[in-house]
Amino acid sequence: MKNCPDLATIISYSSGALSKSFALLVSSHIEKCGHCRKNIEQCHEMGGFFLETAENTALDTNSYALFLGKLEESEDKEIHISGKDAFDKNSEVPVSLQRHIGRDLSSLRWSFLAPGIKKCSVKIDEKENKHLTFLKIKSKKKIPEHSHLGSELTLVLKGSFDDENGRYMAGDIADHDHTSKHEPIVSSDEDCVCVIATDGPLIFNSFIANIFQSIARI
Amino acid sequence: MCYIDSCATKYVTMVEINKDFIKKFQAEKNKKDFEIIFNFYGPKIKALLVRNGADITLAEDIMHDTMINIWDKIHMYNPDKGSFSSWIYTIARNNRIDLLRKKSSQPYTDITEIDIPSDKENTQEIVERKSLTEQVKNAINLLPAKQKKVIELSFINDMTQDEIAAELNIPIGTVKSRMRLAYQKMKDNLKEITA
Repeated sequence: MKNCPDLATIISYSSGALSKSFALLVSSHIEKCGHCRKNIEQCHEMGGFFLETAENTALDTNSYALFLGKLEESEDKEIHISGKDAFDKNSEVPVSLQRHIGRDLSSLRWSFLAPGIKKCSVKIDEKENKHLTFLKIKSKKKIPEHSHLGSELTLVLKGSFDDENGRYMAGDIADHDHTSKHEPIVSSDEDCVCVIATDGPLIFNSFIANIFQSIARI
Repeated sequence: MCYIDSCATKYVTMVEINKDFIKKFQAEKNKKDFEIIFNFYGPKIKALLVRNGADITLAEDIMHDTMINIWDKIHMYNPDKGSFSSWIYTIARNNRIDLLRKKSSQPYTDITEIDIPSDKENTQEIVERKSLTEQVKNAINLLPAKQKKVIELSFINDMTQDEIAAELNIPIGTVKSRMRLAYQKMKDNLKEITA
C-alpha cells in the first residue's frame, strides 16, 4: 500500500478512540496493508503496557465465584454464528464494509450528484445517524478544490485518483484534516469508486462547488 | 505485583502468566488457572473502566463480560502476533466501547483474528517480536513527558484527538504531531534497546 492513514489516526484506532465511520475505513485499509497492521500491532503493545501497569481497583468480594456463575450462564446460552462464511475475501469490497453494503459494489443505489459524479449514502449507525458517503466518479473528472473543517478519510475501492499528494489506488487511504486543501482528479481509465468518512463539513472554494456540497452533504 | 484488597492472600505477578502458562491454559482451559489471569487483569481492567466514568458496579459487570470474552476466545490468542497483555487490551477496549460508550466495536478489526493473508514474516521477525513486549515497556518509559501524556490520554482515558486537544488546551495539530513523535520515538527507543 502506498498511501496509508496518518500515524496519529492509527494510534487513535488502536486505542479505540475513532468514530465508527473512521474506524470502518481504517479496518478496511488494514485488511490489505501489512505495514499498517504492523504499526497497529505495536500500538496495541502500548495499550498492553498501559493495561499491565494500570493501578488496581479492588474487585468485589467473591468476584471470581460470581464470574464463574455468569460464565456458566453464558455457556448455556451460547449461540454459534458463523457469519464469516458470508464474507468474500476476494471482493473489491473490504470484509469490514461487507456487513454494511454487501459483498460487491453492485448493491449500492447510486443517485445523481453532479455531471460525472454519483453518490450513495449508507447509514452505519441508526442511533447516532452516522453514515458513509460513497462516490462514483467518471474517469478524468475533477472534484472541486476543497478544504475541511474537521477530518476526512477517503478509501479508494476501485480505480484511482490523484491529488497534490500523489496517486491513490484501490486500498489506499487519503487522510486529511483542517490544514489540508486538495483537488482530487480521477486518474484511472475506469470510474473511481471511493468511500468517505468526515467529522466536519468540507469547504469548497467556489460558489458552484458550494452548491455541490450542500447537495452532497459531505 | 498485583494486590487484590478483597482477597488479601492472592498475589499474582506477570511472571506467573508467562508463555508456558498461557500455552498450558489454551490446551487445558481449566478454571483454576484462569483465576490467575482473572486476578491479575481483572483489577486493572476495572480500574481503567472506573477512570473512564463507569461506577464501581458497572465496572465490575463490564470486567466480568470482558473476562467471559477472554475465556471464550483464548484459543485465538497467537503469541507470534503480540503479547498476551496487548491481546487482552484489545478485548477490553472492545467491551469498553460496546458497554460503556454504548457504541458498537464492530468496526474495530482484531488483528489477531484477521485470517486474510498477511505479509510473510521471517524467523528473525518472529524472534524480534517475541522480545518486543519488554522492549515496548522500556521504550514507553523513555518517552518525553508531553508525548507520553497524549498517548496515555488516548489509551487510558479513552479520549479522541479533539478531547485531548481540549484537555491539554493545545491545537489538534499539536496532538497529532505529539502522537506521531511518541510513536516514532518509541520505535527509535526500541532500536536503541535492541542494538
